[in-house]
Amino acid sequence: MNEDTFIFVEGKTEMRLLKQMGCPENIIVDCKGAPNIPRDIKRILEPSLNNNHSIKISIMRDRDNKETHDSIIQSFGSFFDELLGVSMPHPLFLPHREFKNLYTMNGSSANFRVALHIAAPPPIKSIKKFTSDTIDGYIFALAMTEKVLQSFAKEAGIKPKVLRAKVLEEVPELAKQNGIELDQAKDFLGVYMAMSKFFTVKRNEKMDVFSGIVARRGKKYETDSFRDVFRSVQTALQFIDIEVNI
Amino acid sequence: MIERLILSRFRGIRKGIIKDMGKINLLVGPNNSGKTAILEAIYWLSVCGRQCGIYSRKIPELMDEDGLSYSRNAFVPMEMDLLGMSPCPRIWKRHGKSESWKEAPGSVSDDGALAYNIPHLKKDEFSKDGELLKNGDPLKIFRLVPSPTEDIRDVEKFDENTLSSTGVFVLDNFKGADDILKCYLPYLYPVEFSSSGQYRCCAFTWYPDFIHRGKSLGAWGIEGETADADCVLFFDFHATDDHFTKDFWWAMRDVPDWRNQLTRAFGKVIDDIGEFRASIEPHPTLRDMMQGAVEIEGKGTIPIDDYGDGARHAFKVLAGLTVLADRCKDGRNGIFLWEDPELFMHSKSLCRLIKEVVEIVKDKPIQVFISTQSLEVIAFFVRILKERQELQDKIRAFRMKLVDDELITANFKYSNLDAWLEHGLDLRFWDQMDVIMHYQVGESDLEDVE
Repeated sequence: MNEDTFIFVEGKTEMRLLKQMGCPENIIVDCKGAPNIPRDIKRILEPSLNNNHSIKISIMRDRDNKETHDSIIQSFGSFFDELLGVSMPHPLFLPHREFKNLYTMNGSSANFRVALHIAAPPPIKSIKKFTSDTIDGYIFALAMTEKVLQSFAKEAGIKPKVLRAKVLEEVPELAKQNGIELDQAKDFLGVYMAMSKFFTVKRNEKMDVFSGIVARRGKKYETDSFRDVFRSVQTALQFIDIEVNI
Repeated sequence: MIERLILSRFRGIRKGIIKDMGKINLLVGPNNSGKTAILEAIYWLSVCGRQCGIYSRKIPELMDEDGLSYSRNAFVPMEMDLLGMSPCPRIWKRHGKSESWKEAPGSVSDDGALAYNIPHLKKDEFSKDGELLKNGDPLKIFRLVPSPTEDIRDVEKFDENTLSSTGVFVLDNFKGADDILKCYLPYLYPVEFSSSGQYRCCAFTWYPDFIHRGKSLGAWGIEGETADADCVLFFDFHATDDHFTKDFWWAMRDVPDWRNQLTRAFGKVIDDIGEFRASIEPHPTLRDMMQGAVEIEGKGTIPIDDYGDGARHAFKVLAGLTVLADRCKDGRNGIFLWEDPELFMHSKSLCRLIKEVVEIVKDKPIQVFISTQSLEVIAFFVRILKERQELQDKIRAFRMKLVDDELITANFKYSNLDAWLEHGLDLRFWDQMDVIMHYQVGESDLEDVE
């Protein structure tokens, strides 16, 4: 069987995360932003279409502020209609029976299989819902678990509860008083990085590197949480026959 | 330009089709995926420029209207290719076979025709009463008849040397040849040939080692314009070691300003020789052979073979291409077949050599086929073409694989190649999870010491 298997992601954070999950790096395509995902799928899969190849892809997508699951599904549905044309008819996306944020398209006769994973991070106590559902939300949830928090606090020379309070309450409150609303997971990750002195402790300013470390520590110290948080991602990968170890 | 190649039972390929070829074609795939077979198939077919007739009692349709027992629509290989080598022996030698096929299943008749009886093909079956029960292979017995033109008949006569150096012929007129084509291109003819009305021709080989599993005949056809037979340059890795033939030297001398052209091109690729002039000299010890050289002021003439393999490779490729480019004018088309250009080459010189090759062929009616194992070669082409938008739609890369001896291909255009490279994907592999060396330059996670 001739198989092409790829995972299309929005950015480096997903790449770091999938790497920590044991996913082969060289099948992950960083599209550098959600709008580029269809373009990159087309450019990369085009040679394999109409050649009796088996194509299996997973798309890791955030839900941005003004989007709904329906609008995302509809957009990808139209895209695949156009890409595959009449030569490769494909079924519609169906919601997964267990995960409401996972949609699959299984055109078994056409050897074409797609798992569309839309980020749906777990809620954080004391924070109202973020305006967007993003992969950063998963990372932030993991960063706030007890043992991961402890590890970062220790490196910064502060107590975990101090770090928690700064990240969840004090800094956002101060910002709010000054007219700055922190309403995205990325905003909170930024605060977390600053309060844990990540920039100086690790001599690195890149958020995706921070995310990779959070994921690694989450997997190591909070195995159950890590598994729970990323089960829908794991299922999306299993749908395209990629087994990951979480 | 060849646009489509259709293969049946040629070497390790049971069947296969490559469509939508471009001006520059990169053949990419794992070992034993058919890359070299395709170069050889195109080479053999394209060098068949010696006109003859074919006669077979099984195919009366091939007789011409005057009832003469031949048709004119067959061609066998030229005596010599552009490098001055005999085409079939050259390919046989590459595969460790004798250059002279002494056991060729044929004979030379008094009138200078080649009469074949292919032993492994099926004979007609008759009843005891002599009634034909079952037809045998249409090309079990056939004759290749010299060109009928009276004034050149003597010149064109075949001889024992032709017999022992010929293993392929080409039909360029399919009229009346349906039985042959259906028999030797099963499932492929006529379905895989387009009805676009383009020129098409088909080659057949009876050389046993080049027939898939030794059964039937090897057959392969093309659509689109092929090259003039003397405008086919096949540069394989043996060519780097070989000296130039005298015939090639004479061809080189016909190129106006060849010395300056070669000096300029070679100087762009290998830039550490200093001031020099390219030359080609008689080999000091090997009679009938010539040797490339560079004349450096104050140092004299240094044979190119005294330099490293990369410089020798570049010099000889560019010398061949200089002749090819000069011939490809006034409506004459050429083909440049280049096997594994990365061999012997440092990355820097390789990039320059590829750039120079692109410069030479870009405005010439030369179609290029390159087999490669190197991601760098692919990347260099993409990088060069990134700045040459007018050439971007002229490149194709064919990712190849044999599945049950069927050739499977995926056709990459420029935008696909660009995307794959941009994302660190490796089209040499069919299953990306097999990739050992990941070319994507990523930032590694910081060492997380706690």
